[in-house]
Amino acid sequence: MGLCGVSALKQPVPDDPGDVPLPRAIPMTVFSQLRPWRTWLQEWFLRFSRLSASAGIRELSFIHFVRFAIVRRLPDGRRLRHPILLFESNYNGSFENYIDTFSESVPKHMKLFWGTSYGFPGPLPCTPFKRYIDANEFKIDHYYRAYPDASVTMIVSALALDEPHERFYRHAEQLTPDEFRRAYDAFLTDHQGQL
Amino acid sequence: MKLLDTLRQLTRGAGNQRWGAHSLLILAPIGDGAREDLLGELARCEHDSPLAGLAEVHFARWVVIDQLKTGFADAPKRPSRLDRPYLLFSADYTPAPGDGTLLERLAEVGAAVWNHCDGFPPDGPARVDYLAAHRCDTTLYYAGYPDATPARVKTAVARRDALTRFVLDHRDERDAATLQRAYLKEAARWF
Repeated sequence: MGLCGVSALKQPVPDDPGDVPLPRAIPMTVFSQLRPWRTWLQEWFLRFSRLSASAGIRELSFIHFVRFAIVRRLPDGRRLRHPILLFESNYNGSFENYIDTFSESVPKHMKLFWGTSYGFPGPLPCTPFKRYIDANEFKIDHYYRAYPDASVTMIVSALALDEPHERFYRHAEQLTPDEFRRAYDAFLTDHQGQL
Repeated sequence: MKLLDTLRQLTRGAGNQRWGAHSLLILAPIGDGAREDLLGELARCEHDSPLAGLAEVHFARWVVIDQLKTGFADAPKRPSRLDRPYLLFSADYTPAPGDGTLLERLAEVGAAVWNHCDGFPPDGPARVDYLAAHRCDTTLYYAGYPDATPARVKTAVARRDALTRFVLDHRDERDAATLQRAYLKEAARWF
């Protein structure tokens, strides 16, 4: 399964300037119930799509971490009539923008992730899909963020910048002022996309 | 079906890790009559999260699952039902070399929450065994920055922010020697 034609970074559309700023990581927990005679298909798709799904999600650039888990039997041994699919995400932006962007950017992935769940209306149009997710979403009773103010883009940029920046710093002490000026300008030019 | 079972065994647990990032899922039954006290304990966590003591954890959550939802079109006619509420815990973490097992410390720092789960031992190594016994495997896991610990993330973001401020503050500095001195003085605090 290949990418769905996504070739540029996708960000949720920013909210209106007057809105209250959102924390940089928002949690989502959704349980859906799987049609039992297709669960094996869903499970193997998830297991073997790790590489392609990751590439598609990375293009969206607003997701910190996301997981899918199929639960056939509860850990304490109780069996479920229908297996359940857990979806959890830690993302930037609003719920509305998150679902809109996912549905429009990677609709094939959405069909493959949720296609065997009862009630899944398809990723497009977005409104029924948002209603579906909303109907199956659970309130988070406690959410911990190690770095509440950092978005995915900020983090990925900072990590990409860190080692080159330290190399520049260690070298900067050995330069004459004019050499430093040229090196400083070149460093900023080379890494302007990460600042 | 034997082939499927074999393949399932071979790939079991493989979704719990993506390069250096790990996914932890625990689903434990809530003790009889303990739901309201548990919600109270989780509300207290908002002011001082016990999970802040787990240095390798990026994000984590506790979710009380009272019952699976059926309020949508085309819901199953005979849905899966829980016979009691469950507590879901999940975490995204990147351990540093030398870090101990997350479950050991999670059993300790989260004891005030776990104590509301049915059968959670009062003390000792059995608590870790309880959490391990209530783990669920992750089937598909994505990590946006899989090899960076939370400490490295925080340090890198702080350095980037500091460099950005420095660049803006000194954008009109024409004298190369002054710029170099200022940069070296500031950057000595960053590295």
